Amino acid sequence: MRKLVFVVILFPWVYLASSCEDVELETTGIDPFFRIKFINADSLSTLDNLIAAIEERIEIIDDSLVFYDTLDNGTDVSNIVERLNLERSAIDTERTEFNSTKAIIESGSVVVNSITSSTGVDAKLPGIDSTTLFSIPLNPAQDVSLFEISLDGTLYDLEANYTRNTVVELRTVIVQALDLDVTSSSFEVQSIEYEDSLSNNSLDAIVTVHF
Amino acid sequence: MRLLQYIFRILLVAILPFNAFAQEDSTSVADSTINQADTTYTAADSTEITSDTTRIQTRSGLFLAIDYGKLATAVSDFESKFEASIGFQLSNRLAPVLEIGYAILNPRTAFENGTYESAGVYGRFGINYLIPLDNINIYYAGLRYGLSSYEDEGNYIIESDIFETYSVEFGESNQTATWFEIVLGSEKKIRNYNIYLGGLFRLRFINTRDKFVPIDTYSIPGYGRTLDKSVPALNLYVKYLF
Repeated sequence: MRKLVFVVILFPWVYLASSCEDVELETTGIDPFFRIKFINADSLSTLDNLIAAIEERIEIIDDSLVFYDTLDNGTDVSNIVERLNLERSAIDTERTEFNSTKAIIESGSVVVNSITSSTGVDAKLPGIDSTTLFSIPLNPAQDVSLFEISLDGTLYDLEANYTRNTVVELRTVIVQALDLDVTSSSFEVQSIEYEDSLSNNSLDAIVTVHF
Repeated sequence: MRLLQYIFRILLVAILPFNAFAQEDSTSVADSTINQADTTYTAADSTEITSDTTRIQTRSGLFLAIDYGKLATAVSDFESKFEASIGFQLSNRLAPVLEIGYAILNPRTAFENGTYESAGVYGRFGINYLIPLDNINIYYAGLRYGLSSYEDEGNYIIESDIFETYSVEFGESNQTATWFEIVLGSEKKIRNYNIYLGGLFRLRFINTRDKFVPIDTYSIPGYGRTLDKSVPALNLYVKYLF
């Protein structure tokens, strides 16, 4: 009879007690965003010009060295050859350094001062200078998001347009931003590429802009 | 019949609490003069059932039942349910039954970033086939067809680091759903009264329901969660047989 009492009275209460745990709402990490890479196009262009000039000079030096090597009139040109080799070595080192700098710029590594939304709130930026991709949250309530981005003390504007799509994944309501389009009057938008070629979700998008 | 009894004994002992002590209680009842004959039969049943089957009597009559497990939800803040049933126990071991209920469901696990509530009335009708173990304990199996009329509502929140929080309300009214159920149950007569304590296991299979995009119905009163095509349930009830 005691077992009966347990089942009749206690079972429903045990069941209820086990179901009464507090559940906190998880509301972060479910808003849409996209990633962006900033390329300093002016610096890149300057470096390209410098590297081209160096390569042109190296070509001239190489031609000169071939000329002096084939010279057969008894003239002592060893000093000239040595000087040309030293110069070639020096500018070749310089070219290597320029190429390294160019690679860094092309990777998008740049110090971003701030990314501010139209509501005036700054996005959290990674504290690492070598960051090459920056995540920018999109407005989940609208199909357009406006930003002001500060790079090296200069302000740039950015406008993102997209189509919102609400889905439920793993019991979480998520707002996706699809078919992202980015425009700017101060940046030059180079490309919008998706990591997954079948995706049109902003989470997979990498936008490259030149400034 | 003997095979059926063994199958139900295995199934129901595993899922329902009542049969776990049915045998023990029957032994204790053996001391009373009222049910002495029944208990004697139960003991004999395990060794020689064929000779005694005629001694089991299936009472016929109208019965009313209340799901006391659902009554207990009245004090919870995540759901509130009431369910009662009426039926008629026929002498041929068939028992047509009609179950009617009302439920307000607030499953906290519906959405990680939102709330959800569905409310409505439901009914099920069907039939049980009774398999008496003795004159105290009865197993039964049955089929049901269920119908629910309900509405739901809720909201979800999307927080952003740099934009205002996006909060959306949603909800649909005048929804309907139908489903089928397989029922396995057992009940035990409380001493010499016409009161029975019982429990039953249901396996529900959705037939039709309204669907919505992007936020679909999460739970249907009387049926349960819509995530799965079949939903198990356990009911505990007290029944009065007139």
